This record gives sequence, C-alpha cells and structure tokens, in this order.
Amino acid sequence: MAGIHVELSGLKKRFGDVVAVGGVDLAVPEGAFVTLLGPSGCGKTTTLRLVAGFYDPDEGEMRIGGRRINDLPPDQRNTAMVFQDFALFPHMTVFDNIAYGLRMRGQPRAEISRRVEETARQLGLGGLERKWPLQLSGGQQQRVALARALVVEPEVLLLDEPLSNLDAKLRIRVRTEIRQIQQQLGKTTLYVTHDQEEALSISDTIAVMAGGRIAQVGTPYEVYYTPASKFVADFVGIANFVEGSVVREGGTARVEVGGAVLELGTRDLTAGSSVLLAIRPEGVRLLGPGDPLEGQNLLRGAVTASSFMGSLARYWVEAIGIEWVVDVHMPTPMKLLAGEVTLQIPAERIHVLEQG
Amino acid sequence: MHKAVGVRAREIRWLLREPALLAVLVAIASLLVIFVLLPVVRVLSVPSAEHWAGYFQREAFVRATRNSLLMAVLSTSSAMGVGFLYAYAIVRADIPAKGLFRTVALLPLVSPPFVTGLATILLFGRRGLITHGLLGLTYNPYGWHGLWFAQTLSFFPIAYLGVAGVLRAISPSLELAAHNLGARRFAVFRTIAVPLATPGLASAALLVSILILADFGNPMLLGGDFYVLATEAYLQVIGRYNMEMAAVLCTVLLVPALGFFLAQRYWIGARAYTTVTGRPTGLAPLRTSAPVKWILFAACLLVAVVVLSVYLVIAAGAFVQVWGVDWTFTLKNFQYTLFRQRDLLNSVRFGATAGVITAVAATVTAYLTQRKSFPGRGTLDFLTLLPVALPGTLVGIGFVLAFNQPPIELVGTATIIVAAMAVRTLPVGYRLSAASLHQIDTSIEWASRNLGASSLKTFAGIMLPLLRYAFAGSFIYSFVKSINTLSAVVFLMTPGKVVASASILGLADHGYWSQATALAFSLIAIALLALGVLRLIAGRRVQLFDL
Repeated sequence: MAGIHVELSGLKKRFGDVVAVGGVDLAVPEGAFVTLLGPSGCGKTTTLRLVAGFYDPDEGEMRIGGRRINDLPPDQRNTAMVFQDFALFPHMTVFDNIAYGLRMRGQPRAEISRRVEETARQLGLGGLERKWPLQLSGGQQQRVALARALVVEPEVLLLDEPLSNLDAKLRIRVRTEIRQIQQQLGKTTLYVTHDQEEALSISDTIAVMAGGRIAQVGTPYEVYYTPASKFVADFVGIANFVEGSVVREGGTARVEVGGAVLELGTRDLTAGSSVLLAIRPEGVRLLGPGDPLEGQNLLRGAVTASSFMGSLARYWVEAIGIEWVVDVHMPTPMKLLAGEVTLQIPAERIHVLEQG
Repeated sequence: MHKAVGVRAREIRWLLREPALLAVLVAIASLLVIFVLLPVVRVLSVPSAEHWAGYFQREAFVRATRNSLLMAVLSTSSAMGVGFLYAYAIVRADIPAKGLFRTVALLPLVSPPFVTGLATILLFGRRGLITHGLLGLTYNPYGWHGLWFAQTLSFFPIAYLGVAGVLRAISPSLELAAHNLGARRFAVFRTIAVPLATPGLASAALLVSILILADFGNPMLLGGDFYVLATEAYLQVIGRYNMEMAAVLCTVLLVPALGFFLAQRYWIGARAYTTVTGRPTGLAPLRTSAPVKWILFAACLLVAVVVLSVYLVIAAGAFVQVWGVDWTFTLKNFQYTLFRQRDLLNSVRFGATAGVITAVAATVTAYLTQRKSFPGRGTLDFLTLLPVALPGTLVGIGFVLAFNQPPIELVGTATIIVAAMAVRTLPVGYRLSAASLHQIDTSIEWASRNLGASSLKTFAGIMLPLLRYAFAGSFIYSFVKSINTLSAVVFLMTPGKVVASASILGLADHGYWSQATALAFSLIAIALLALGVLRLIAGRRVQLFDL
C-alpha cells in the first residue's frame, strides 16, 4: 500500500464573516485520484486553492510528501493546476504555453523542446504547437491546459472543475482520457467538481463536502451505496427516504412505516428506535399487473408520473404515503406502466442512514 | 455581390414600413453631416496650395510643429509613467487610501485643463507661493519645462484610467496559472502582465499624446515664447484673421489624431487580447509584495500631494486680496465673478443645453446603430465617434468656416457654441449608451415587438426607461466637459456670449489672478456638484471618470 502523499489537517479558511473551509482533514495516498465533490459554496475550490497556495489558511497544516508547505509560495509548491477557465496565455502559442513551466524551471532549450513535443503527442496535440489558444476548440484548449500542467511533472496535479466549460458529450470523453492518463502516469491528483456522476466515474476516492467540511470520504461505491448522511445520499444520486421505527424478532430487524413493515434481515438495530432509511431508485423493483408477486417487502401503490429516458424509465409511485422514485433499466414494453403497481424492495438494497 | 444588394433592398423596405424610424434616422444623419462632417471638410478644403507652401516656408510654423511633437513626446511619457504607477498601485496593490487617490485623479478630469497651468504660475511664478514666497527666488515657469509639468499633471489621470482598464481586463487566473507553474512574482509581471497589457498601453499612450497635441489652454498660459500648433492657430485667427493658415495648422494637428482614431478602430481594437473563456473565477489578482506595495504607495502619495496642492492653491487664490502681495481673506473675488459677469451663467446655460442635446442624440443614435440595420449604419457609427479625433481648435475654426455664411449662418449666436460643445462630447455619450444597450438582452425588445408594440413604442416604453442611467451619465458628462471646454468655443464667442473658461484665461493673461482663480473655483465646484447629483440619481450604475 502506497504511503500518504498529500495530507491536510484541520484546514480552515474564512473570508470576512464567511467560513469557506471549516476544518478539513484529508489524506491522499500516493498515486490516488481523489475528488472533492459538493455543491457550490461548500469549500471545495477554496481547499484546492489553499493547496496551490493562492490563499493562506487561517489554521491547519498542509503537507506534501511529509513536507509542510504552508509557508511555500505558489511558485515553489510544484502543484500544477488545470483551471476552470483553462487560463491559457492568449499571447503565447500552444508550444509556448506548454513550455512555460519548464522555462520557469530553467530547463535547457533542447530538453524543453523534447518534453513539450512528447507531452503534446501524448495528449493528441501533435501538429498544433504553432497555433494560438483562440484558434483551438474548447476540447483542444482543455488538453493544452492539461499538457501545460503535466509537462512540469508536478508532485500533485490539481484540477478545478476542468470539464465545466465543455459540452456534455465532450465532457464524458475527456474525463475518461484524464483518468487514463492519470493512471498511466500514476500521478497523485486532487480533482474538484460539483457533478456527482463525474466524481463517481473518475475517482479512486471521493470526499463529499458540505458547508466547508468533509461529510464523507470513501470509494465511489461506498459514497453511493452507503452514504453517511441524508445530505450525502441526496447529493450523490437520487434516494428514497423512509422514516420508521424498529421492531426486532430474533436475529432479524423490521421497520414499521406508515402501517406497512419492511424486512431488513440481520441488522444491528435497537428495538423501538426510530430510523431513516435510504433506498436508491434502481434498488426498487416495479411489478406490473401480470408479474408474479414474489419476494419480501411488497408494497401496493399507484403510478403518479412516468418518464422515458432511453436506457431507463423513471416512475413516480405513491405507496405507503410516500412518493417513491423507481428506475427500471432496459424498459421492455413499448408502453410505460400506469395505474396500480406493486413495489418490491430487496432487504439488501435498504441502507440505514440514521438511528436515534 | 447580388446577395449584398438583396440585403440592402430588404433593409430599405423595412425602413419604409416604419416612417417614424426613417424620419429620426434622416434627422440624426443630417445633423451629423452638418455639424461633424461639414466643418472638417471646410477646414480641409479652404487652404490652397500657397497656404501649404507658406506653412513649410515659415520657420515659426515648423518650430511650432516641432515644439508640439516634443511636448507630446515628453508629456505623454511622463503622464504614462505616473499613470502606470498610479493604476498599478490602485488595481494591484493593497495600499491604503485608495478612495482618496481615485478622487484626486478625478479632479483634473472635471476641471478646465488649464487649471494646472494656472496653479503652476501661482506656485512657481514671479509671485509664486513656493518660488517667491517660500524660497525668495525669481523663477520663470514660462516655457517648455513649466508646460511639461502642467501637462503631466493635467493628463496623467487619462493615462491612469486607460492603464487601470487594461490591468483590470487581465484575467487573474492567467497570472495565478503562471505563478502556479513556477514563475516568481517578477517573472509573472514580465512574461504575463506586460505583454498582455502592451496593446492597451500603446492605445492609452496614443490617446494621451493626441490630447496633449491638441491642448490649447496650458500652452497659452504657460508657453511663453514656446509656441505650439494650437496656439499658433489661435494667433492666426485672433491676431491676423488668417483663417486659411489656421486651417492648415489644424490639419497638421488632425493628421496624427485621425491616424490614431483609424488605427484604434481597425487595428488595435481587433488585436486586444481577451480571456479565452470569460467565466468569472472569483479569484483575486496576484498581489504585489510588501516592499513594492509601499514604494507604490509613496509614489501615489507624492502625486496626490502635488495634485491637491494645485487645487488648494486655486481655492486659496480665490479667497485672498491680491496673490503674492496681500494675503488677507476676502469674498470680493466671488462678488466680481458671480455678479458682475454673465460668463459663469452662460457656461451653465450653454453646458446644460449641450448636455440635453448630447444625451438625446447619443441615446437615439446608439439605439439605431446597435439595434437596427439600415444602409449606412457603419458610416453613422463612424461620424458619431469621429469628434474624438478632432482637436478642439479644429472644431472651433471649422465651425467658423462652415457657418459664417448662408445657407447656415450661425456665427455670433449661442446655438453655435452649444453645437460645438455637443459635438465634442457626443462620442463619450454614445459609447455610454451603446455599452448600456449591450447589457440589455435583445429578447426583451423582441418580447415587446412580439406583444404588438411598434419600433418607436418599444424604444419609448422599454428601451428608454432601461437606458435612463446612461442618459443621465451622458448628460452629466457632457455638461461637465462643456463648461470646461475652451479650445473650440474660444473662436465662437461674441460679446455677451463669453463663457467662463475663456474669461479665466483672459483674466489670467492680464494678471488678475484672484478673479481668475475665483472663477475657476466656481467652475470646479459646479462640476463636482453635477457629479454629486449623478451619484444621487444613478448610484454606482454609471461609471464616469472611474468614480
């Protein structure tokens, strides 16, 4: 297991009366791709800028490779960043943009040439070296920004919402490429985004942030399927929230909800306590009039709205006094279901969020 | 080719369908042709080949040309230097007292430009407060050195405004990106800030040099025997009534100004760097280091003290008996300037009328050129902006040449003075309105048309209310500049229609320092009052003079 490469402890930053970052602790392993995910104003970008040295923290420590960097000026941190607006130098060609960091490091001319050409080729920018940034498409500009950061072989690569200026299709392609390059180079990377799908698809680890603090750190699977709080469950994907009280029977637990009972299987829950459950839309099975009513946790309900979205169909179903969101993948009939339906919820798909 | 003709035909058909719009368009176009184009054409066409030969043969004229160029180069360099320091400190350093510095830079912009010349004499002249009063020297400020000092002070605020605009336009993320890639502060300045600012700086320097070339008041007051083109032209008109030779000298002044105007329009404008993607990042620009910050602060403080002393001297001069002789406090100078003379009242009346005309014309013209398509739209835009490139002396002489005979005989009327004031301030009002229009989404107008309002009703009911702050801004700008203008109106005044700026010059010329300063003080007070009223009406929604 690789060691810790970037370590943030007790990091705080306020702007006037606003607490932008209110005590962030984060350990990034060597070579890992860690994403700071959260809504706007959650402190993710401020955290990234603190690491880059654009702001000074009010409290806390930042270490890269064990070395304290709090007092290093930005130009000596070797934390090359890809900016949201790319920040390409408009008065320099693609070549000069990519070469900039190497020149600042006083590299010999031949070495600069070789490395710029190599990085440009690696990122599919070969032949564009003489062009000006304004002559490039959005996707090409994005690659130049990435090449400019990668060519200096930074200790840590910082990316601040690098895809938000690209259109939807390009975003998906470029994010896959960023991930591939990052894995090839084994570069420790800190990535900021507000897009949960982007975060899930690209990261080794996601740190979900809210109100200047980290709400949960985990793998994409952990963050999605076992969210630590209602906020995380709600921000990362869609969730059906169910409140109820626990009834125990031998080793298994049940939850009473609005007259119905949900079986949870073997769980460590105290009888009589109230719980908040989260169930993902694709974790609920939708049974139509012709389907056999099999399995546990069957709930009768009625479709209130539906929407066909291509690879899936989304239903809003009223059952036990709750409006459920249910996703059906590969919807087979040519017509969407309507009217009376039955929901079936496998016990292993039910996540217990809070108990108290 | 065929396509272009088709477009033209369609545009004309559209216009014919809206006769009210067509009428307004024709009226605006005629006024521009009469009051902008015709005077220029007259100035260019009146002198014959002999007059031109006379210009090249007369040693005095060649010397005046050389002097003009020398003064432009010297004063532009110093004004740009001071302006750059000032702008860099205000935009990029966390120095204290920024508000004070910005207010100080505002003063020369809203007072008659020769106020600095007047103060230079009061401070350093034969009876100067510093040279004679404090040091007991007999120093002669008249000549190129005194003029250089006064022009630097008069025009550095324009350099400051230009440079500040350029520095603000550089996206902070560019400099931070360079810093992040390993560039130290000075390397960031050298490799990013300087090259990015260069086109804008060149443009600001050219503008300042054109204004210095065309300036008339300070050389008149301070030049001594250092004649420049603008003062020579004045002497040709007033002394010898040689309008043709004056027209020749104006044309010589026009060449660099027009060259700059055209270059700005077709070349520099297209080359200015903009950020690749304009999304605001919320990043603060890179700040200067502590030593640099305090050096900049000291420089700003020095400039501010000099500028403030100029205005304090004007204020002091207004309240003493006889400058340099009898320092007792008195209000008699104001009695003289306010009640014995109609000049100040004339300035306010003419300035206010010019302000209304400019504001209306600017708003309507901007709406036409920015939102309507019609044949000759580019020409209309060009004619509206052209007065920027016209030296005041040329406008004054051009007006005399164009309107001293039928069919349009205006010389000797108040109308011609008001028209000259309006023409000179039209371009800035037009730019203000056009900028405001750019912020109003076209769909708002479409919505009005879509719901059944005509072009004219849409303009009156939707656009005009939305443009009211730009309108107020144009009016106040035009008023402030008009009450201070000298070079154009000095040729157009007749007894009873003298304006304050000209009578200050006359009073100073004859050594009536106290009366001159009292009148200047009153003008400045009126200008500041007008700006205060604008702030009350529009708050910070209109940016005049970087306030």
